[in-house]
Amino acid sequence: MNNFELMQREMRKSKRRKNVVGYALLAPYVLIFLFFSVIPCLMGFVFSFMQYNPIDSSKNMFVGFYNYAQLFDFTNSVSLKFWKSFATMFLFDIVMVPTLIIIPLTLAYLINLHPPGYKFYRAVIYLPSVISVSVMGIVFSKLFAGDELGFFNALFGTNIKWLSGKPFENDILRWVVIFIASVWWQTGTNFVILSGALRNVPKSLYEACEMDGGSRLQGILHVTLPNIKSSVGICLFNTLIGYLGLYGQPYVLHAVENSIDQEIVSPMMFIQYYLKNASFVNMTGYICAAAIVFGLIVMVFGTIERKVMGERKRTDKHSAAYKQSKQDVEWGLSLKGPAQDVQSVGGANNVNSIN
Amino acid sequence: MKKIKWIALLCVTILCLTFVFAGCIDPNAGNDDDDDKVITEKWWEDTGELSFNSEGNVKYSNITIKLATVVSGEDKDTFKSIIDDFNREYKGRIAIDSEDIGQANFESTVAQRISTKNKAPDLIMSHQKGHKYFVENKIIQPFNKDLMEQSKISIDMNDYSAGLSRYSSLGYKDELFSIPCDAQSMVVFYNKTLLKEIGKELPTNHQELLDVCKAFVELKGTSPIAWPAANQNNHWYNYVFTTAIMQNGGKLYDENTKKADWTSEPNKTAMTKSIQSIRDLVDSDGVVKYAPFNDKTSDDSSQLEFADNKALFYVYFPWRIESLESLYKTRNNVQDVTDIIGTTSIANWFAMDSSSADAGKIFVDSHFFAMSKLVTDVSKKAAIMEFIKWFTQRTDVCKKWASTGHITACKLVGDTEEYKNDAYCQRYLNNFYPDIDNLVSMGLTSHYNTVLSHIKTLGYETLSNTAADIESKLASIQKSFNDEIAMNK
Repeated sequence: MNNFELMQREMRKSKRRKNVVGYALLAPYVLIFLFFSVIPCLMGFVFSFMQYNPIDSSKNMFVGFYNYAQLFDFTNSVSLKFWKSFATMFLFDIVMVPTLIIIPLTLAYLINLHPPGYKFYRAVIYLPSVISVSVMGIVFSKLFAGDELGFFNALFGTNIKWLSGKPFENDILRWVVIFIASVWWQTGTNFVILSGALRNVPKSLYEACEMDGGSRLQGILHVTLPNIKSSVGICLFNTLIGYLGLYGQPYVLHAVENSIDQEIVSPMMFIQYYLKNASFVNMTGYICAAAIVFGLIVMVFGTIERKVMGERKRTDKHSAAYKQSKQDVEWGLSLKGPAQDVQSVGGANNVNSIN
Repeated sequence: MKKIKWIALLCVTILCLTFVFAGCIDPNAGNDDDDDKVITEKWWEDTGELSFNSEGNVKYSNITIKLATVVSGEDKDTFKSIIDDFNREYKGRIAIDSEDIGQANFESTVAQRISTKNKAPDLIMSHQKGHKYFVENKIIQPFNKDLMEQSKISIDMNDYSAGLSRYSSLGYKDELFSIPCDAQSMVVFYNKTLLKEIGKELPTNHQELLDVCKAFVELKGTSPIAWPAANQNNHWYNYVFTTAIMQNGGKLYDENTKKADWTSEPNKTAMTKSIQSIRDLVDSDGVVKYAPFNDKTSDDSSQLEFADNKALFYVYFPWRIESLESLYKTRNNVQDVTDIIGTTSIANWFAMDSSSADAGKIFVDSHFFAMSKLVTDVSKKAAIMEFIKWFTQRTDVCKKWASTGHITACKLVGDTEEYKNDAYCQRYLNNFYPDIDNLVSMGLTSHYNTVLSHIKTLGYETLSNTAADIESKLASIQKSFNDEIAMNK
């Protein structure tokens, strides 16, 4: 075996050693992800094609697309409940998601101007996001209680039933409360990310804009926003996915009314309701189908968001050049060994940004 | 490469076609709702043999029975005390290891434990409404009648309340899956002094109730009936509204199809009458209603209204007796309330036709005993039956259990002078439940969740808005009910 082959073998060993350490550190997360996300997801996918009873396996049978057909049967009251809950959640998200970008961004911009006491304000903005949804629910239930003991009713001497009402009928006030609570509770998370992004915008760009005669607004539009686009994209993605799976807020913020329809206002609540009740055990396959369909819808939204917010890819010509340059670097490394510096070859510096 | 692509495409097409054709099969076709089924294949086993002592009774030696119970509220301590009594009496022979699991998750928890054989109980004591679900999923096994005969442990359903024991077969012909233990519902406490003040007698039918309520409002200006508002306590729908339906001859669901049949006669009229009877109370003429429906009246505030002499009737569960009497004594500075607080039942309160045979019905929840399918040893099975017989047929035990408001389901006990003359039973239970044969519960459906949630919806939609059209609500909610049943077979 010549020197070159020995060197290559050494390099491979070294790479394997590094990989083992990397895999060992990843292993806990991967195992948890596998056993608590991937495998249940696959099992749910399989069950969605079955009439599945987790308690009595003798009743299990393969039914093909029957569950999916049932889900898309709009004359079926149960399926209609699912789609109505989806519509309720979607309407809410159209308002909520942009709000949870605009408000944190505005606050982050203002805080970044370092007004007096900005550190205090920063803490105040972030603190609500560390409490749990249950605590948030308790607080806002008391604030907006529908009787004269509710804080706002007592303050203004009113008797407004804030949290009552049925979806699509008379529950606008309830959604207003959920909106206010969500803004208060979750502004902090996006605020922190956007705040960091704003700090990383090079000041030289603002100076250049000013020297070119640009106003503050133009600075925001042409310097700030383009430079924080990836962070806004991340915040938007997280917020969108989070609110498509809306569950906590409507669950903890509701009047103690009794109509079942009032409780199910999102697909997640629909799924939870039928899964947690023992007497709906024969509907497990159908609920899995609903979960799969809902998951696919969320994936579609997520993909659209990434496409819209992702930076434009370079043209094919540049992509080919990058690939070629990467190959050249690797070939150069293999020839010259790890101890020697390798100059970048070709378009190695023209690396596409990765979303 | 092209060939591989074509083969892959062909496989995917065949797979999709399989799925589509499989989807044409209705998985619910042939699902049997018959309540007279015959067991063709056993899902339980019998192992071992009984051993007998010199007197010919079964000999038990250190048998431990794991009991899972829903009893976890204010009656829990009394229940535990009864179990301790049994364990003392049968020391060295049979021991009960009891665990209470809340009602909210009872069926799912127990079913999961038994199906996975992990911390599985041997004996279940839970509400009757969940037992059909257990048998449909083969969680429980029937009590062996031959074994009963062999071991001389006689548990005959003719000795139990007719209204409850009819559910004991759970739809399987000549089988005994569940043994009734007791029953409970919402009951009525009333203020004797106030009743005298308005110059009325205890109402014996719906019209008399309305007259009494009207007289009270005219004299006192406050609502005569204190019960937790429906939006504060879901039990109102489960007991009061369902009782109203029963008393007017209504049926929550068709016993053959298990689906709701609220829009065809005579059930349509029955349901309409039951709603109207509640509307008479919650939507009276004038400012003051006779009873709250959807407001802030809670469990505690309704009790307080009665204790402060603002209400004539207090409708709640019987295990509130002690706290009610204690509160009344404190608020009114009296030592003895025997001559002040009386007891009666909601029988006949909602029946629009007082002469109907259904007028006296009360919808109850009833505890039944059932045996897990995992119990195989016949000695253990005999021990379980021994315990059930001890719990349900011993008068002293039933008296102790009655002190928490649970009336016995066993006529062998209920008809005895000792039981009837017991101070507690005399003062309370006999008045709360005048006729145990008139007690009805959920019945033979595994879809009790669907039944209760839709009854709740029906009650809310027709009573929170008393101008709502009952017929259209019956039709729309019935459709939702039946769609859910169809999908859950």
